[in-house]
Formats: sequence, structure tokens, C-alpha cells
Amino acid sequence: MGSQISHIVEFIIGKIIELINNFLPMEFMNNPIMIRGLVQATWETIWMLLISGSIALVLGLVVGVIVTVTNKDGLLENKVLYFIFDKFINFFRAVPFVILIPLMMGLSRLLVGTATGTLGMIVTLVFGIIPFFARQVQSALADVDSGLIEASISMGDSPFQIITRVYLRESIPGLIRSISMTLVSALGLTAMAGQVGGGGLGAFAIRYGYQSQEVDATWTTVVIILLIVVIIESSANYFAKKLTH
Amino acid sequence: MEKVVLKHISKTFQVKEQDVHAVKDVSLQVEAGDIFGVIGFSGAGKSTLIRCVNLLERPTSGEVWVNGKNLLELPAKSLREERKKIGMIFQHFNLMRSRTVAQNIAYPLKGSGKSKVEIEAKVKELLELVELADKAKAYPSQLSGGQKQRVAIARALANDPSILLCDEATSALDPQTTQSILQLLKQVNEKLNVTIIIITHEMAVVKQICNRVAIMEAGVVVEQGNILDIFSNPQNQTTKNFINTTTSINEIYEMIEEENPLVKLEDDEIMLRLTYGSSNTDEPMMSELVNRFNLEFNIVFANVEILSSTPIGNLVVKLKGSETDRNAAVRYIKEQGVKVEVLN
Ligand SMILES: Nc1ncnc2c1ncn2[C@@H]1O[C@H](COP(=O)(O)OP(=O)(O)OP(=O)(O)O)[C@@H](O)[C@H]1O
Ligand SMILES: [Mg+2]
Repeated sequence: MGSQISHIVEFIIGKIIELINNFLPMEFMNNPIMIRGLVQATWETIWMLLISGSIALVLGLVVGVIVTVTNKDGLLENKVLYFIFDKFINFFRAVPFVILIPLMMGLSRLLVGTATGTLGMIVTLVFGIIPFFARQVQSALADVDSGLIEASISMGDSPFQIITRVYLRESIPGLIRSISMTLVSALGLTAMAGQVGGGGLGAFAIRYGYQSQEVDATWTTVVIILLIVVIIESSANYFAKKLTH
Repeated sequence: MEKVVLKHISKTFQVKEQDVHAVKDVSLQVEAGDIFGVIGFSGAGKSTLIRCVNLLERPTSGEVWVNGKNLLELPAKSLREERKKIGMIFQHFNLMRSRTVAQNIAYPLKGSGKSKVEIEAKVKELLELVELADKAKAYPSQLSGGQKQRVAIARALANDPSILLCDEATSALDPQTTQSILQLLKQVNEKLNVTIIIITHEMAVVKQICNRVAIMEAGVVVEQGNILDIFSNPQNQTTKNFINTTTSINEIYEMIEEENPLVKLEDDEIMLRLTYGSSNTDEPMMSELVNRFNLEFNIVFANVEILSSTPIGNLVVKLKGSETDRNAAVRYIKEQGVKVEVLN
């Protein structure tokens, strides 16, 4: 099943590269090893983004909700919890991602058994993405009218119901935009993660574009990355608009 | 039977090390079937007080009894159950934007143990009550303010509450829409037997639908009682000011101030403001006065209003005649139970 999907994805990526090559004939495209490398790199980027993104979005959502409700005058005001999670976010946002990579090696080994390779990078990426997304969630939830919270308290809702039925449900358009911003910024992180063994388009561009001076290779990665960004942003816009009333 | 009893409620907010005493030792009793008005100027503590009724705000001290239960002593879960029996509507409606009108009304019914079919039937019934059956699938952003408040009322009634709290429910609406919302609230009170507490800063609202009223100023209830008594015999200056906002009688005071020729008096004239209570409005007092005393009457201003189906009269008259006759007339009027104020 997994390998089937990966075959389909590789086929699609191959088609896209072919298409680019039709409009912008590039010399290196005639080299089948390079093509294979490019397909592989794109696939690795998407894989890193999807796996680390989906884990980080879920955890980031939880952290974002926790800092929102435990904040002063929040639904479940709790100074200790707020302090811990707020500082957690600040700490991981403050540490530059390239420093986060060596920093997370131990934890990565502990959690997934390795600190290198695409898999090893996942843990680091997750910790890079969570704080960014958590802050986005926090600001999306802050936009929920406090009057709605009051109304639902007056209707006898429990704090958990208020979180799911008001905070999360009423901020869906805002959350979708947060997800899109987070994924785009996570794409940047995957490129960096690629340098230390994660593979992906970043590593590809460095190897061929920088070290071998193949300008075409660099441009091709740029186009593919742009394409991924456009897909993320336009689908987010579409759904956010559709769900805004 | 008492629906809501507030005993010595105080609420103090701490703002930057400073104490703000929003409500100070307020005691109130709201009887079943009342439409109880709480009126006061901005910052008087009205919202804080009404929010204490369903514990959106926990009072600093005092007791809150609703439907015979001491809310402050209930555990969280039972408190939530009690809140379902206390509907609330707000100045800014507080509808869920991502949900349709029907979904908004159904919101409090989720988890009530009702089946989907029962919920649908209830929503339909409520939509008909608030006359919005054709808007079931609309979103709040597509509604006018009055329609939004109707949806909010329907939502507040979904769990068949016996009490409805209204915090400035009509303050964001134009006069005509205000009328229709007030009529709807009156209907809810009469047909569904819902006890209503209304917060407002407009005496016109109180006058129109309340049967009892409390006047608040700086966190304190300065006067409360039956609306007829309050209107015909107000004691507190703030109360008087509020009552004056609802009649054009205020203009008399301005005219006197401006020395308008209409209210200018001869040496042998006095001007009186008479306020007729509920019991004496239909006595033929004026004709009696003319027959008994050798005085000339001149009506400057007259106004009769119907409060809780009882007329309340306001009259400004000039009396011309000898001092003895004038004094005797004033005494006579007072004996009839009419309130007399000598205007100059
Ligand atoms: N959460 C709060 N924190 C601090 N002070 C508050 C809070 N809520 C109300 N107050 C203060 O309490 C006082 C009474 O406020 P409240 O909202 O009850 O007045 P109100 O009579 O409803 O006024 P309005 O007609 O403007 O709505 C005000 O001085 C207000 O600043
Ligand atoms: Mg208020």
C-alpha cells in the first residue's frame, strides 16, 4: 500500500518534471540519473512535510488550545500550565532550526531510534513546527468573540464542549489559514533538514546546483517548491473562503 | 413563588491593585411571572448583577437562589444543568457565525437526550414562535439585527427555561425593531410562562413591558418596586430623572429655566405639576376643583400613559386666584392622593 502510493506520487512528480522540461528544455534533464534524483528528492520533501506536518499540527493544536484556555481570564486559567507551555513555545521558537538539529539528536534517537536520515529529521522538524503552529492557533482562537464563549457557558456547556464546539469550530477558517502558513514555513525547514541527511529538494539543490554549478537544477527545484506552495495556499484559501459565513 | 432571589450580592473587581466595587450589597426578589426591569446609567453595575444570576460572574459575597437552589453551593456539573434552565440573550446577540439559524437554535439541545427528529421539531416550533421559519438555513451574517435577536431568543428558549435573562437586548436596535422584540418578550412571558429579567438604560423599555423595576446607581439599588408605584411616586432623584426621560414633561422645566412666556406667571398665579396614581386617575377631580374654589385653571401640559394596563397621568396646571383659595386647592388635591409639585 505504502509503496503503491509512493509509486503513484513518483509517477506524478515525473510527469510534472517532464512538463517543466517541455516548456524550459534543460540540459541536465537528459541525464536519467539526475531525473531519478530529482523525483526522489521531491518525494522525500513531500514525505517529510506530510509526516512531520501532520504530527506537529495535531500537537501544535493541542499546545495552542492549552495556552489559550490556561491564559489569564481564560476558560481554565492555570498559571503553572500556562507558564510551562508558553515558555516551551518561546524556547523552541527562539532556537534557530540549524541549532535545533544537533539539539534534538538525543531525543530523536530515543523516539525513533535514529538521529539521521529522513526519519531522524522528523522529530526535529516536529519540534521546529509545533511552536510556530501553536502561536498561530493561539491567535486564531483569540479572534473568537468572547461573547460566544459567554453564550455557551450560559447554555450550560462544559469547558471541553466550549473548546470543541466554540473555539475550534468557530475558528475553522482561521485555523485553515494557520495550517497553510505553517506548512509553507515548514517547507523551508525541510530544506534545511535535508542538508544533514534528510534528503529532499534542499539537499538536491545544494548538491547539483551549488556544488556542481548546475543552474538548471537549482531552478527546477525552485519551480517544484513554488508549485507545492501554490497548491497548499490555494487549497487553504479555497476551503477557508468556503467555510466563512 | 420566588424564581430568583439575590441576597446581599457584592462584586468587587481587582483592576491593577485597585478595587472596583461594581455591585454593592444588592438584594432582589423576582417572582414567577414577573418581567423585572433593572435600569441604570452606564457603569451602574447592571450587567455585573444580571451575570451573577447564572454565575457568569461569581459574586464576591452574597447568595444566589434560582428555582429554590443555592447556585453558589452547586458542584460544576449541577450548575451547568441549572444554567440550561436559565436562558440568556445579549446586546450583541452572540450567535455562532459558522452555524445556520437552525443550527444555532439547535446548539443547546445537543446532549439533551433528544433524538434528531425531536430536535428538528423543537427548532421548527421555535422558528415559528420568533417568526423566522423562512430563515432556517440562513447564516447570522445574512440577518438584520432584529432577526439576529429573534434567533438568540429562540436559542435561549430551546431548553424550555423558566427564566430568561436579557442584558441590553434591544440597545443595538432601532426603535421600531425594539418594539417588536419587546412584544415578542412579552408574548414569551405570557404564553410560555417565562419569568424575565431585563437590563436596560431606557425607561421606555421598562415602561412598556416590566411589572417591577429596580433602579441602580453606582452599584447600589436605590429604589425598587411595583412599576405603578415607582412611576406615580418616585422617591429617588435618579428614578425621577429616568421617568422624566420618558415624557416630554421635562420640557416644562426647561421652559421655566428659559423664562418662556408660556410658563410666565402673574402675581396671583401658581403652577403645579400633578401626578395621578393608579387609584385616582378616573376621579372627576378637575371639575370638583372648579366647583369648589374660586380659581381660574389653565392646563399647560397633559399626558396620560398606560402602565401595566393602568393609566398614569401627568398634568401641569396654572391656578389663578387668591392665595387662600390656591392653598386650599393644593390641600384638596393632595387629599385626593394626587402628587403635587409646586413648580415655582
Ligand atoms: N470584568 C471586569 N473587570 C473589571 N472591572 C469590571 C469588569 N466588569 C465590569 N467592571 C466594572 O464594573 C462596573 C460596572 O460595570 P457593568 O458592566 O456591570 O455596568 P453596566 O451597568 O452594565 O453598564 P453598561 O450600561 O455600560 O453596560 C464598571 O465600573 C466596570 O468598569
Ligand atoms: Mg452592561
